[in-house]
Amino acid sequence: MTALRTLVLLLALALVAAGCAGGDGGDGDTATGAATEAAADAGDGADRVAGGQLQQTLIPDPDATGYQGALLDLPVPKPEFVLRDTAGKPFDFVAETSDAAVTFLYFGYTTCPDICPAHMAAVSSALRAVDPAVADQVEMVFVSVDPERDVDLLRQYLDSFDPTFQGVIGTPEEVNQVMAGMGLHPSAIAEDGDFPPSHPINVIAFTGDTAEIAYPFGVHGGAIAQDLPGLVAEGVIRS
Amino acid sequence: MKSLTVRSTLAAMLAVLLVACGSGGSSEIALGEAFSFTPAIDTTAAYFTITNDGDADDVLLSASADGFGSVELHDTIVEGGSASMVEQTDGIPIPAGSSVTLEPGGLHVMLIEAEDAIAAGDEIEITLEFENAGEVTLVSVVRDRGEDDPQPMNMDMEGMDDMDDMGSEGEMDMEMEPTEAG
Repeated sequence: MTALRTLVLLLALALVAAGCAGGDGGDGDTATGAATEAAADAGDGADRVAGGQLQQTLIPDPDATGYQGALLDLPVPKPEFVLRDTAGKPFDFVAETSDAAVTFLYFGYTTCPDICPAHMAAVSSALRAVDPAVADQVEMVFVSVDPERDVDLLRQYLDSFDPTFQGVIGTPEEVNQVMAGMGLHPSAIAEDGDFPPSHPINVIAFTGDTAEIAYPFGVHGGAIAQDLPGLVAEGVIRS
Repeated sequence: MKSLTVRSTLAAMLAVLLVACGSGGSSEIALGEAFSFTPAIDTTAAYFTITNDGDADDVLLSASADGFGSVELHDTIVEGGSASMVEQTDGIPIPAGSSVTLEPGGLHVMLIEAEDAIAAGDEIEITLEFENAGEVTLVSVVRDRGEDDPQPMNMDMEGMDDMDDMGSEGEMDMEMEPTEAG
């Protein structure tokens, strides 16, 4: 059956080749976007060097590490910043997340069509999948890199995934300062109306005062849910 | 059954042959199933595969859909751990004899400012304008974003055992597209 079909295919292709003398040439080659090789843009401080890992292409290696997320070689310190929450009240990142065993931090924007919502959907489904006692110890903080547009949208946006997700708004300068301080590429945009700000693709997971694990785009909620109980109970344990 | 398959395969190939041998070359555009996700607010995207079975290159120039403020062709470029959306102002080339897949984390038709609420199961009619093939319409079926998590279904307890059995390749899931999504 398979052989027969192959034969027919070959025959047909031969016909095509014969029928259209020299007519082929551009066949079959699917040109895809250039694979991106990341170069860490390390800043000067130690924090920035550690944070520079987050600007690399991270690939989880569950077999080697036991984690569905990608382990970071250097712990990334939890950044200290005070911006505003979605109600306009001061939001002190360290204070607001001090009780959480795991704090996810992500820089995104509400009109981002697929990467941001995929991450938010993954985290929200992970939180629904785990024991509520585990989920209660996890915070999700979303910092807008398009704050002027998002200031009135972020609450509604996050509510569509999980009302417990915290949204953070700052001026573009403030957000860029936070990002630069962490060793991330400052990418908040100043002007409303134009897509798109670029933004770090990884969700950073802090356990305690540092992050040793991050989740790149494409990791589904079920995978995050596998890591969460362990992360909540004991942080990242390197094997 | 067997001969029917062979015959239809042959017929299909002959059809391609006829198209391919048309005067001056032509593009033969075929579209795969299209899907979108429920928007968090009012912006979503459509994903599908475009196949050009012809012998002439084509370009997806633009897209339009009723009920949206604007519709744009975008690519999500991932570089150095950052993602950015880049509008494809020159369109999306579909070379002869190739397929181009619009998928999450990559090329997409961005549907901006939906006028009405969009729910799972809704169908969005999109008109695509190709340089050679002209206008082609497709219907994108809306999926619940929250359901877009195949892992809990695929990765039940058995799935977790499977993972342990996996080789050092360590692919997490069929759906994984970690980083080359750009």
